[in-house]
Amino acid sequence: MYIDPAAGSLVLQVLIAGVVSALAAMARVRRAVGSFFASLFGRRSS
Amino acid sequence: MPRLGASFRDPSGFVFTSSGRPYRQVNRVFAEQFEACTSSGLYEGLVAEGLLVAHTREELSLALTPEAHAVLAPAIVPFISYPYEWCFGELKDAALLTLDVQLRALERGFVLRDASAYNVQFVDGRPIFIDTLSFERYEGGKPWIAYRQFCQHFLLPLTLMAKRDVRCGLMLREHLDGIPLDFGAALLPRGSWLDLATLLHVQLHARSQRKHQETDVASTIGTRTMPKRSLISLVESLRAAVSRLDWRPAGTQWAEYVDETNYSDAATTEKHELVRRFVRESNPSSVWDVGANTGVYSRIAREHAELVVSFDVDPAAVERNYRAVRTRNETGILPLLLDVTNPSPAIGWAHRERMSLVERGPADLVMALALVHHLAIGNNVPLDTVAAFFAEVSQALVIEFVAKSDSQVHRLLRNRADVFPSYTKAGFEAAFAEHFTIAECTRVGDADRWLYRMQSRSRMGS
Repeated sequence: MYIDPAAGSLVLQVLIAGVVSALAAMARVRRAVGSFFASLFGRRSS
Repeated sequence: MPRLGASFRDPSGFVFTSSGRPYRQVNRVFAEQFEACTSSGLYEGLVAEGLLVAHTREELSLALTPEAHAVLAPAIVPFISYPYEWCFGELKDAALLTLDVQLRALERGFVLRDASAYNVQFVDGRPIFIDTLSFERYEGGKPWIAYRQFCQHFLLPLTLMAKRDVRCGLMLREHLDGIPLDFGAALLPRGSWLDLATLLHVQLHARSQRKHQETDVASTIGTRTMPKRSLISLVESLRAAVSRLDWRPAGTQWAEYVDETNYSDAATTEKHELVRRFVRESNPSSVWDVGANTGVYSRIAREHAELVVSFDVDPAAVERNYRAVRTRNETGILPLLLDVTNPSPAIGWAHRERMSLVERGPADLVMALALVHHLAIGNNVPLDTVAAFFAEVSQALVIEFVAKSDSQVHRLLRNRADVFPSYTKAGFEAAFAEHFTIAECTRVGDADRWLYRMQSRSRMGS
């Protein structure tokens, strides 16, 4: 480690780890639902 | 001095030049990490995807110091540019590249140990990661060491540019390790708190830094860790935040300028042909188009040159130029933000970390079209010093002189005293004759504008 990571930056990451994981999971679900409907729509229009 | 002035922070290695080309020395202290990264296939994968600059391994005898483990010859970057010279789109693409490199590294069990914007350069219209030694093995449970640096170098400047003013990007020239979070966070509009990514990665990040200035991290976080899944989510969250940021070029002074000059369609065509011929006859490899606007003449110059660096002072013009490069997959054109009346200086430790514009020259050819009146009248620069500057950065010139009778110059003088008695065609030629020989001069159509092809006196035959 040659750069200063900054204590506050390390602490924050650990604190928000759960939040960002939950957000990422929600985004994945949104994408999956979106692509499911997109594929339905795609089949109908083709 | 063969060791590059910016290459001193990281004990794992450094960049030096030998016989005019750059090499990267890997020190023994980093040998194990470097070999692990090599054998993992990470380098190969990133190079194959065009994300990382390729390198070859050279003889160890080329090493500059005894602690060398390996010497690498990276592919040459034709023109070094800096984040404070990039438009919004360039900084955004560099940010996305950095995060994509980080995600690829994590897939193979490595992690970026820095996230400096200076690890990115632009080659053939695309950002590319240039620091081969930025990777180390990922240790499970650890947070990202370079999170602060990424936010300061990329996320915060981009957020300020998108939500406050695009000119905030110029603050990177003052803050070489990125915009301090507390400083930048205070400049953001109040509404920015409503965006979750800005709230987490900028506002709360700035508060956390303030709160934990004297904190011992190990005792504060105790047994809590950052699982790899969370680290990947953090990077994906940053990627989504950067992707959402947008800035549309409109409404600045120059963005529509190219359409408003005093040429008829026929004269415009004639000027295009003249520039094309003058560039061809100058036979350049590298061209700097100073005052390029959206790059119309840069593209003409590119027909006869390997690389055209397309400078303009207007962020909107540079943004449009860069978007055109990306949309059309153009190579050999590099749009950059530059105020030629205040060009990028040599900055950083001992003035040696980031090169001045002059240090990155000279170009084989400098083009200055519809520019001189802005320097001489708009900025009161005497014509002889305009000529002296161009002589310093170019071997040859394609330059336009716009007479006072032209309405664009008239406009510059509308509300001020004309204190430029020597601003005449004869005065222009006399000023430039000290440094250049005039190979050709042609009036463009019936406008009071003349196009010159000149050759530097001091560099003739070089």
